Amino acid sequence: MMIRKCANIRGIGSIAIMRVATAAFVLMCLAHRANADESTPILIRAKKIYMSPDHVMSPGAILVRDGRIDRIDETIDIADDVRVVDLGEATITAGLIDANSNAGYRLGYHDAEHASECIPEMRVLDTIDLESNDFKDLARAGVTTVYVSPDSASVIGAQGTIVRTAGPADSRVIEETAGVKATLGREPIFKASFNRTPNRFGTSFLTRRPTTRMGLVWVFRKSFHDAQLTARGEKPSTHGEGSPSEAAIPYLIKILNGEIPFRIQARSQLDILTAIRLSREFNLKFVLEEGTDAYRCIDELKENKIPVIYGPIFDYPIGFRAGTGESERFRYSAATELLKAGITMALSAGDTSGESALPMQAGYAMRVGLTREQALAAVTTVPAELLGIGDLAGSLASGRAADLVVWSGEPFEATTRAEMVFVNGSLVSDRTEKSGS
Amino acid sequence: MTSAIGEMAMIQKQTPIDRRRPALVRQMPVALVLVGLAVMSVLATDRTATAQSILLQGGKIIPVVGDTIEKGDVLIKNGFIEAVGEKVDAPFDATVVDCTNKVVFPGMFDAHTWRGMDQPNESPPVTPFLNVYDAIDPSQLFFEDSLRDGVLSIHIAPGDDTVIGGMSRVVHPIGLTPSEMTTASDIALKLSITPKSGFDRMRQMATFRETFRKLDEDMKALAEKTYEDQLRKDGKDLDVPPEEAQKRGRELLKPEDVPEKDRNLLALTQGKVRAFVHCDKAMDVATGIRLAKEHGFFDQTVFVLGTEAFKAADALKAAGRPVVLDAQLIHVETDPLTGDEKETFVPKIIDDAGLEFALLRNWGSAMGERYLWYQAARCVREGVSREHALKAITLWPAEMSGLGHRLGSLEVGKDANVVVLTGDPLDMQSWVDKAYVQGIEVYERSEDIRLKRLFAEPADEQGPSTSAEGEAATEDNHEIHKNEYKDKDANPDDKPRRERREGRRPRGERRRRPRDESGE
Repeated sequence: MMIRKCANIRGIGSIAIMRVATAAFVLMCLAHRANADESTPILIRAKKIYMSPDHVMSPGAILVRDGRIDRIDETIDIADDVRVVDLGEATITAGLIDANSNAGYRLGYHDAEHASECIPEMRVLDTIDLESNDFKDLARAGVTTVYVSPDSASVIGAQGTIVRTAGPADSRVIEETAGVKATLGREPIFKASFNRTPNRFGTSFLTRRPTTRMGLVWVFRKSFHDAQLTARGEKPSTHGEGSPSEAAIPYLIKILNGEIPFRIQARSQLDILTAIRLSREFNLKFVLEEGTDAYRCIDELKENKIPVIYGPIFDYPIGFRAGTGESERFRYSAATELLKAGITMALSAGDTSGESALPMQAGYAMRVGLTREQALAAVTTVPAELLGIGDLAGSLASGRAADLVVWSGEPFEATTRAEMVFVNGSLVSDRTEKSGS
Repeated sequence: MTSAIGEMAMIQKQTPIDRRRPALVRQMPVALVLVGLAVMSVLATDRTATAQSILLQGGKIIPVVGDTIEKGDVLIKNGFIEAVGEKVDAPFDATVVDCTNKVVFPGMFDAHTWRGMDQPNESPPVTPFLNVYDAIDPSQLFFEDSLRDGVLSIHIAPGDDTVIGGMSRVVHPIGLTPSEMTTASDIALKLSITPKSGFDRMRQMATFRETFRKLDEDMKALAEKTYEDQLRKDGKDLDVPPEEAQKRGRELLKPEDVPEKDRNLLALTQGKVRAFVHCDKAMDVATGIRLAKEHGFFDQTVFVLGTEAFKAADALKAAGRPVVLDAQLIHVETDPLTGDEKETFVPKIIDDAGLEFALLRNWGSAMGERYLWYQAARCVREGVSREHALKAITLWPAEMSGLGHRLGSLEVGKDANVVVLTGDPLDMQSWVDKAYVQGIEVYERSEDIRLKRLFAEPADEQGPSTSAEGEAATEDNHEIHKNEYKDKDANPDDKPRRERREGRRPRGERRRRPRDESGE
């Protein structure tokens, strides 16, 4: 079938090819013209500009020229060829950053790796669809940069990646390998059952190991233990069941050496304490993901200087966390308590989307006690620092590529939406002219 | 009415807000319950007392109908709103509630839900004789959540699966029995143009036709029989053709002569009760309008729409009947060829069509959309006027249920269903501070045990009522909790954590699972 199709294509006459080429050329020209229109400098006036959470300019104006922030000032005089946007009550902030997102792939069975419990050699970048609607929705909502975390199906999961949610294809990926995530708790245990043989008995290559937290921690320790031995030039005692594959070991060593940032997803107090214990055992530095019960481990987190990517915030748990029973001790006060204790905390929407995506997570956080500045920091500067991209995103400065959001009012209110979103210099969402869509 | 509610409120005062936790109550030793009740009644008496008048003083008043008063008073007397204004003179014995820096707003109105019912759908397709009264479960958490979120009127109607469901009613989320909770009964019959899954529209419409034909036939036969019976009683012979006999018989017919199973349906065709007609898709709207017109209840009809039904906006506009919008608010359509998603914000389109609409809460959501005010805020975000957005959660749903004269705004003479908010109703940081149902305080945020627990610091949660699982109420469990916090300071490595985790829940006691909130 395919071959015949190809033959047909080859059979097309040269005139037809010429026509297609001409059409393509015209289209390219049109596209170029469209770009030319976009490159008109844009002057955005706002009631408030958050340069960073603790540096507010009010009122303010930003001139975006050729995709760069040309000037930020309280007033900027209008030049003739400038498009002026003035929404009256607008606020401008840096583009939001979700440091623990699941955008671009499907959680659960489909995009979870079942080959092994320890897969730090694999990259989530290879499974995510950068053109998926997930990213478009995020960009429209005002989220410009995300760390895409792999599915929590494996004890030691794949490498996460930092990507922009929109913009030219060649500039989307900021960092291919930005971290490796381990998961503690019920989730790898539960998801391992996807791959269990039907008769439940006996072991086979389809049967995955952990069925309890004991097994899970065993896989974790075995993996890093083997990596430690290999790093010392010794041969690990066994390479049997439950051992990391030879491909995984170099990456585990990199994690041990701190060359790849390490993250652990844990929700319940039990799992968070286990994570801390394991990190001490292997001298690992890590960032805690989700941390539903983190407010119960304040002292331990503080003592070990562990940053937390907290969230999502919810009234009722949805998704896998509902089934794990690890969300029962969720508290509204958790985020406030973490900040009060001086723990570095970023907010994340995790696998929730739509009205629970990152801007509204910041809104929820404000509802349960954070100030607007704290909430803003938790979705801009703090995640930028955690991801090591503080010079690219998270705050505004002239000379930088425009990565900013123009909000219709105070950010993170239920009545406010992102009117304009710039991602890395390109205007990817503009709702100022039309409404109701 | 007032006295029954008054009694109810006293019960309410003596019981903590989360009285809907039978497990907790069961576990509590009787003595503890009695001591608790005694303490609470002492605390409660001085405030509720027998005050008939309550003055909500110095708050910002958003009456929904009329202009906002930046600083004003609302006087509640005998369960009704007695006066609203910048300065209201209160009787000497009025309980004055300081509302400075607070916002006074009418209790919000949930226009249509099957939540609160034990089972929303009966299995036979035509059940107009049923009443949701029999399925309302006052102990559902749903009511407590509604109260906390300021939703003080809930129109409970049967689900969407039956062709003709039962009779609905409007309840307030407080009370121990459906009777106590009832604000108004016999509101509307639920009809569904959209068939339940696995059934088709042809059969659905055939069922409607058959039902109404049967009703018509039965009524004719009954009228004829009534006339004949009357003649027989008078000792006369039948003197007129059947049509005339039916006509004369209908005049003789007393309401109680109509079989109970037909009464609601007959009332519907006579335009005496309302119809909430569920139209999930745009194609159902025209059918719904036709059906309502054919059977004489068009003027009593409210259309309950799915997200896609906005495409029939023109037909709806021509019909001019109010609509209840799907909780999703956004209709997402994926182009089958390109995979591109097109999103349509439905309330904006309905609002532009000039229709009155009501918003619903989305129970599949994790947080924001579970609040009615949040749904209204989303409308404002997308360009619906603030006035209309506020009406869509208060006055319009009240009018749809025929209670516009009693509820939905702060106007003199209306029921005193009032919420006192900490800020603007559409503000992210606003919470319901107090709620009044028919002039009786039914919610006080500082006494909301569940909210306290959610905001508690770990060190605060040692008391029996604020235990971590909300279940550990016995003395034993109390001890375990204390230990848990003592252990926190010790080296966590040494402690067998499993051991500590056990014992929080008595053996055999079921763990409370988060409810399945997947869609309607």
